[in-house]
Amino acid sequence: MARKTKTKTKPGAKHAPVKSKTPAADPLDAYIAAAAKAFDLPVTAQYRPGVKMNLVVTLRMASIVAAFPLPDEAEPAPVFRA
Amino acid sequence: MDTNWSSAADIAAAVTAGRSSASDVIEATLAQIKTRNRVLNAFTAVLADRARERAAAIDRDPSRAGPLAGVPFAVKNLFDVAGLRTLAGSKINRKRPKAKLDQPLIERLEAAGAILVGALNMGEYAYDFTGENVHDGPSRNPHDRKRMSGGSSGGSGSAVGGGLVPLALGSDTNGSIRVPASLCGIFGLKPTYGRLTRARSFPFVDSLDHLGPFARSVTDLATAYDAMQGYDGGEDAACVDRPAEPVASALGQGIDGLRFAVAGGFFRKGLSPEAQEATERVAKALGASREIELPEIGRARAAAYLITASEGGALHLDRLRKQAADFDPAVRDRLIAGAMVPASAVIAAQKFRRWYRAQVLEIFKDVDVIIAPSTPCVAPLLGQENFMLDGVEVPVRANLGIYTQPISFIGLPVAAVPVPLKPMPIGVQIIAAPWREDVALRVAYSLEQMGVASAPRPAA
Repeated sequence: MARKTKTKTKPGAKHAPVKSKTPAADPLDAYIAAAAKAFDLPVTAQYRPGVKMNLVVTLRMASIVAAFPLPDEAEPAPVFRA
Repeated sequence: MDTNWSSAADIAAAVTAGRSSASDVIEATLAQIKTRNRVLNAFTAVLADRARERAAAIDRDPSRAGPLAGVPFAVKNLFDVAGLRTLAGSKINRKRPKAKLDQPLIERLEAAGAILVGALNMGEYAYDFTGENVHDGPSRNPHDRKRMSGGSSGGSGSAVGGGLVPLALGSDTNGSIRVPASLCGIFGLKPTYGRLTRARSFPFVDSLDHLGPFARSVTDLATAYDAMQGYDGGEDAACVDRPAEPVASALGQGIDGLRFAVAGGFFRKGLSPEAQEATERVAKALGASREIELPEIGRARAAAYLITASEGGALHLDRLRKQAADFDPAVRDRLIAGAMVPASAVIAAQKFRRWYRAQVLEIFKDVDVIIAPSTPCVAPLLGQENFMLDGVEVPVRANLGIYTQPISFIGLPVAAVPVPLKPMPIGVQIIAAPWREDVALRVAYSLEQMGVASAPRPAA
């Protein structure tokens, strides 16, 4: 899952972006806030750094798996038998 | 008889022959737990009355008690034990109703004469490789109380390695039997996925959960495993309808004709000198000169990680909504993150799992046993948050099982054997093809006979 690189604004940098005196918002923060609301999960300010840290690692794992090409016909490991 | 370090086999032989009573064994065990558990913190419940009653019943006719006559054992506290609340290492489950029945593996061990003496500490909801528990305190390493027991079956490792019981049961989703076996210097068996019933145990990740035994000798491990095999009539959806395939009587068949290979690549990266030494000793003893690379092993680990996070998050979703503050914070944040993983990522991981299984089964066409380290290092210090792996500092909690996770991912049977390095032991995985626990245990037994693998007795 590709994410935009965070824009960093160095204090005193000569060519700092005009509009962003604060760092650009990380889309993952927005995702966590939206998912917390949608799933009714209590992600408080206290929990947020830990949740984000774990989600970053988990999504990195997801991108490792996603980078491996598999045919459309590939079956998932658990197969339901009626 | 030195009950505190006797094997289950010696105890059963003494009880069956009338040289010792089951009641004497249980009294010695309870006394040992009372003294040593203050240090090790392995037990969360001791069932003295139940154990005494059961011992008295065995003593009425010990010759008919079975192959584990009078053998004390304990179980990770995610196993249902009649009359206890199934904690699974949590605070939240303390409000659950008490279990009405024992988990079936407890019933089967008791049918073979064993005696349940208590429930054991574990990492919260089994999402852990450290053996630390924020509610009950950490179970401690019997070889150095300042070090981790390993998780999540930390109490099981601590109790067996510390001489409190000769036999314990635990669970292994990504390494939770093999990691504490390594850190505490004992034998552990993670059977093939679907071999032993998980009915009446608190789940973590249905796709990956296994139950299995810990012991200080391979004979004890195999005897317990034999007693626990067999279909459960469908109570656990993953338990396979397959006849028991006893292995204890075949342990001495030796290793002639078996083809060995050492896992290279991924399994060589980040190894501490101790893990390297232990793996080399085992490989040398078995004459394993061939090295193989399992395909896409890093991706297999990533896929196991994803399935774990997602199924764990789904399992606990409602508790996260209502009782988030009652979780161990480290577990809570991982579970919340897991609940937010998109379904597409998890389905991709399950598709990859089937592909990876097919590749590894190809390897088993010309290899019988794969040798790999159990953990990258010996037991870290309690409270230690990070360690160095391949030159990078990584969290202990998620990475102690880096070598176990890609193996359980496809349910391969593993006998984890302890190599008694000093001052701290470390384990090696003897990995066999699906349903070939007999091969893994025969190899483990040979290593024990050669003196390469053994459970070191801690200094008092």
